[in-house]
Amino acid sequence: MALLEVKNLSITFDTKKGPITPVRDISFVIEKGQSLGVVGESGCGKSLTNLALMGLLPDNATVKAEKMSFDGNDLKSLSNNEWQKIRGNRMSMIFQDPMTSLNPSFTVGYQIEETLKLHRSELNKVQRKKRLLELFDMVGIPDPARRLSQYPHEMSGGMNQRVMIAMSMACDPELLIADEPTTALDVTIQDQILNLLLDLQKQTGMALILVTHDLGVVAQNTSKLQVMYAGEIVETGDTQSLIHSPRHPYTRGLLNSHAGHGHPFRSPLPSISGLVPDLFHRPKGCQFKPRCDIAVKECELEQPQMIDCVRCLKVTGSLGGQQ
Amino acid sequence: MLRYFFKKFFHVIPTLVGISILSFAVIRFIPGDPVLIMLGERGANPEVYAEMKSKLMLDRPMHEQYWYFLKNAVKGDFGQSIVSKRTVIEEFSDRFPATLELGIVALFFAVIIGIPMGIFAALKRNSFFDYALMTSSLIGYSMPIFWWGLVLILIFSVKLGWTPVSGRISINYDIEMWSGLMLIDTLKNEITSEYGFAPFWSAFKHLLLPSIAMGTIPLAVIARMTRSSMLEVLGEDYIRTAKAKGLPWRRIVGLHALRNAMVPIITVIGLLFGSIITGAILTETIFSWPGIGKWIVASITARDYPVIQGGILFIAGMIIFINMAVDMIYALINPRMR
Repeated sequence: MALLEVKNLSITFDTKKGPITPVRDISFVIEKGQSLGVVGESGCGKSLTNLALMGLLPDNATVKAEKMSFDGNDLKSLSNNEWQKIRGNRMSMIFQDPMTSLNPSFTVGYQIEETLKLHRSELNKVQRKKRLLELFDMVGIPDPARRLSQYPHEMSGGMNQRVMIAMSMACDPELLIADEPTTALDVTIQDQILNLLLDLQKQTGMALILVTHDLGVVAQNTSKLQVMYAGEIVETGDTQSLIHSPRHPYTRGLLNSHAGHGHPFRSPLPSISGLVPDLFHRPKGCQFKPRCDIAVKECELEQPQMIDCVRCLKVTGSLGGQQ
Repeated sequence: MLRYFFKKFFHVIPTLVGISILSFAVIRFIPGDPVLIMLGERGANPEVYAEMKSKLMLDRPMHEQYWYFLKNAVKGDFGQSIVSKRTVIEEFSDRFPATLELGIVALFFAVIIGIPMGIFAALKRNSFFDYALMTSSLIGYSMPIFWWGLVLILIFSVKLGWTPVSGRISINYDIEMWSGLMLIDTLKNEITSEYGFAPFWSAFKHLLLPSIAMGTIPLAVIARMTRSSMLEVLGEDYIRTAKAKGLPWRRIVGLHALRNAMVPIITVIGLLFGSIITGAILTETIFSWPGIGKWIVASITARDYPVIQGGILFIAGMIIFINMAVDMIYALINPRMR
């Protein structure tokens, strides 16, 4: 059985200007121990999807889904109590900005210990302390005994993100969601943190959802890749084949604008012109049409369906007899 | 922490010197001659007047008078009251506990009710309760104390007869002051063995209206501050982290959010001490509460220079030290301040 199964998930927000649907009809499956990379521009609904999985969306959001289950638990109908048993325990999350994601008024040790106290109540004080040191060691924080009693503002962003990782790993989760864990960090630290996450994933055999802009890391380390655009999954598949033979024009655009090893020195990077559509005025038909260089007239009329892991009329040849 | 304390402490001294100059100067600007008031307008023949003036040292140059005031302040007795002939410090320590008791109870009332109300309003944002609370706190904040005090007396004492009109305790009980706080002194063994708990209740009932009158503005301010501070904190990323950890909502609000929201609330509570003292002047006058507020008002009318000077210095010093204590509490709650 799949660890996480999502079928036709949509998220709608009630705003003063009317309802918007930043995420629509998303379906995907993660097996135990699998790593899934999610890429896409900012504002494509990647974070919202993750927050929905954790039940952390704000009150004005409505989640609709045909199916959303975690290891057999229906996430749509969990009570607060049941959520509390899953969150931070079997399923945990790391956020973008470690500096604001930790409570400034408590020592980092206290904040991690809190998770242990909650989900591992069988541990006594000494055992918890031992586990804390073990966790800090695992995420590569030097001098753990001293660091445990420090406050978040006394540490660097990279260290704080390591603390966040330690916190999320405290109860050996089956699924870790890392939502752009390096976006707020210095470039020099980004690689270290990503590699740490991927190492941990391999060591513990947990499933990992890694949302990132860094295609290079995703290419090397995840088994499955999912490309999101305007709240939809436009292409998905096995990471290696997707990177080497992208089919959706958006995926190709993303890969082209990535400065990989093959990129000629000092030549300008190609970019995708235009912007992600305004959610109040979604284009008709294909969402990517306004920015697409292979679009034809029909793309505007019909919303493409996911066929053979790609959502594009042209590529899948589903243009009514025109191909 | 200790270094922080001393640093703060040394900032206090120049402030106090400044206040002593100010309180000394300000009363001398008020029209009215203390000697004339003492002797009565008619009985002032020039020799008696001159003799009295030199006795009170009011014929000396200003700097000498100020020096005399400072000397008495350092000596600890703050000079002699012109009216009662007792030292200012004696007069002050007779009355201060009454004000302290009233202030503590008023602020306690404001905090105990204001903080939970503010939290609740923040959690139920934009609900009927939220609007009702914010409106009533605005009304509470804008009500003049003397009017509100009179309304309370009119309703609860005169119409309903639930509470006494004035004073600290029923005259039937002769309570020997030990701590000066009526609620504590009435619980001493000698008293309870003689009268039971009746004196305590009497003292409590006497405290009720004045502390409500005095605590209403602080209550309104605290409730509003708690609401806005709580709303701000609840939107922080670390609250989301706390949720993602699986913590129960009660713990998130009561510990993770409140701990951070408390910082501005405590600042406000510290600043409110100042308004409590100004509130005391009005409240004590309305309820005939024998505290320093009423004492200072009486001294100003009598142009009792030493009392006014000393009294203002005391009050200012008190507010300064309370603010210092607030800074200390700050540093305890907010590790970034240390």
